[in-house]
Amino acid sequence: MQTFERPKIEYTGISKTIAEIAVVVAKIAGPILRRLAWFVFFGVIIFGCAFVWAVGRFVNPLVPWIVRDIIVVAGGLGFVSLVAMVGIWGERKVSGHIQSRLGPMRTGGWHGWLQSLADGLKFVQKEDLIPASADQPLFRLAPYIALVPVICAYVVIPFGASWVFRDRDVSLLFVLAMLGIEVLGVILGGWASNSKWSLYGAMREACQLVSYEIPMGLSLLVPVMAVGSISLVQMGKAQSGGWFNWLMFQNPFLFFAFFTYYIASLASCKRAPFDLPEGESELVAGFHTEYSGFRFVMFFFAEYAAMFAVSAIATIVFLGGWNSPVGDATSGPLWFVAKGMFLVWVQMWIRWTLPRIRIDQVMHACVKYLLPFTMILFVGSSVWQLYGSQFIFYTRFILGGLGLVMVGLFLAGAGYGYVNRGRLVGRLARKHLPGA
Amino acid sequence: MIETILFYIFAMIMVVSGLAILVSTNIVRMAYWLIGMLLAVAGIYFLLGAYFLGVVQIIVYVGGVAVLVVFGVMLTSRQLASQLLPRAWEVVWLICVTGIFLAGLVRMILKGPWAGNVKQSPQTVAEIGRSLLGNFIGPFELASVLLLVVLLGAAYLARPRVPTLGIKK
Amino acid sequence: MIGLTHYLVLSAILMVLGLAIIISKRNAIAILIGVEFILNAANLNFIAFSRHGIGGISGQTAGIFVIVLAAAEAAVALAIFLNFYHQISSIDIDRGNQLKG
Repeated sequence: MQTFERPKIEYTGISKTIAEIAVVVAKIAGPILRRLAWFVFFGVIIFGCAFVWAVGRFVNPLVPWIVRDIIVVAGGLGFVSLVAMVGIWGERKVSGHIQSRLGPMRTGGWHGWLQSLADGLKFVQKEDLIPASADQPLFRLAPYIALVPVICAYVVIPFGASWVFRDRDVSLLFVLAMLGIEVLGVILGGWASNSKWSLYGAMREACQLVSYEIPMGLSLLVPVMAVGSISLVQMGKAQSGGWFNWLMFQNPFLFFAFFTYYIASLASCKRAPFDLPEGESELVAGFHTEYSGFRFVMFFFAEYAAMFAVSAIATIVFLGGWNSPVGDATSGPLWFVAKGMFLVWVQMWIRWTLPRIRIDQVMHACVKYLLPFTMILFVGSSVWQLYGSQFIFYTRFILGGLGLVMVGLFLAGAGYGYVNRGRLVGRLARKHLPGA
Repeated sequence: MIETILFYIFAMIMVVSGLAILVSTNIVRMAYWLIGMLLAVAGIYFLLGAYFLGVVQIIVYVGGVAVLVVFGVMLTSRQLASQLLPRAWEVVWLICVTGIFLAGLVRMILKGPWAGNVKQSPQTVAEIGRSLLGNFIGPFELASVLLLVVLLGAAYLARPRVPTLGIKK
Repeated sequence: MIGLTHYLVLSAILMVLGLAIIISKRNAIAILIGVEFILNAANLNFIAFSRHGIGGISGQTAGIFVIVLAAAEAAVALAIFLNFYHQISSIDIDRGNQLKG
């Protein structure tokens, strides 16, 4: 699978010169890039991070605030795009390995890590199709309403104690607000497609999203009560010192609040088992059936950016944010991104393990089970804070031990899977593909 | 400086949304212009330093009321009957009435110095919390009872009706 | 600079726009949209006064209550409109001119 014979196209004039130059450049640079793609890619990322750090450290007081803001915004957008691309690649690899196959293996060499880039290029050059009977301006508007608020949510998310674009008093509520605007983009996408199936997907999704915002907000109120501030930076700072200081282990109600928040955020991101809106076996693709090319990429980006945003909120609020588990020496953005990506990976794991549930089961789960449970957690946590804070040592010990046990089980499972990977994934698949 | 620019941008979005709703005949587009207006008002709240209010506006109005309005539009616009365009004299009458009203309001606003026209620093969320549980504890509890009543009432009013043979509604 | 009168004039314009929408539309949901304009104009007044020193923090608290009540009223209004639509299969308020049913 080495060369691909392109059908001969004859260019004339300027296009001919450009085409010839392009062919020569591709012939020279192709093999070099194929060898060095790994280095180039990571070199660009590391250089970008170093540049941002240097600007922050040395140039900061010297330039007007507008230049700083532009650089940070560009960095933030770059990070969101990177997260979305890694998320898409990770989704395909995780789904493949869970389904005893391998996922992308060719693009870029090692386990197809450039697959998202190739997918992006493919989408960008597709024909821009709009159904003739669709409402044109609204059809064009829908992906923007879905994507822009999710990117705006990254304005207040702190990656480190001082690595935040704008630190506000109400940053947690701001992120919730931004994730709630996405509903309108999805409804509009379903409506403007002028197709019955898209509309069904959009309506079901709107019911689900709006209903699950309530348990999400209530279970986020529990740590807000524990810390006493809605600011994400304050919540991160209150958890420094070690893994037993993380808010998840302070209080049995906080322990369960993490899981209810995680489940509600799964529904909020339209991930399985709540992914009826994009039910692949039912509605073709739900509300974004009629979208192709770059518009579809925007919906897709919105989904993966929202996945990382809710995981980021879960890590800051429950799992200690940027604080490392073993003391403060290495706390910083790397731990934050690692924890966030771990939670995103768990979301993918859940998606490809559990079956989809029906819309009435979705609503029952929210109103009959999740909502009363979060209310009990809320009341219990306030009672605990008033009367039970003398048990703090025992709870930290027990719950922290429970957390360690869970991590140990996870690592044991991962080790077992790694050791037996030949048998689990399938020797036949592994033998005949390169890069295995 | 930046405040002036942002104020005029948000004001322009609000006024344009209102005029677009007046001119439009498609109810779905009207709903989305409403969303534009609500987001611009939230922007003005952020500009005024009322961050908590701005966030509550987005969560409740844009994420709640606007979604309700859009649902209502989609559930009741199946027939999409043609909106009768207003006749010429109706438009003139509308402009006269609203113009006089607007002129009166603006004259009253511009008339005198408003007492205490001094910009305060933005208040924190903690102060709003203390005010809600301090001076405004009565309205706070009443609002929660009201919301319960509204929940039950709206669910009862909008219940699905099984078509019977005309015996009972 | 942007002073108190700027915000007050803006809210007056918003209110008049809402009034115009209520007067000139026949679709019940369009009328609800106009009512939302008026409520937002009033709320803008509250917050502008609170920021400029008149009333203190009560302005923002009252603003919270206005938002809550507006949401409640929109919910009930939509429930009534849905009822209306089930009865006469049209959302045109000019058709709602009978006291029966």
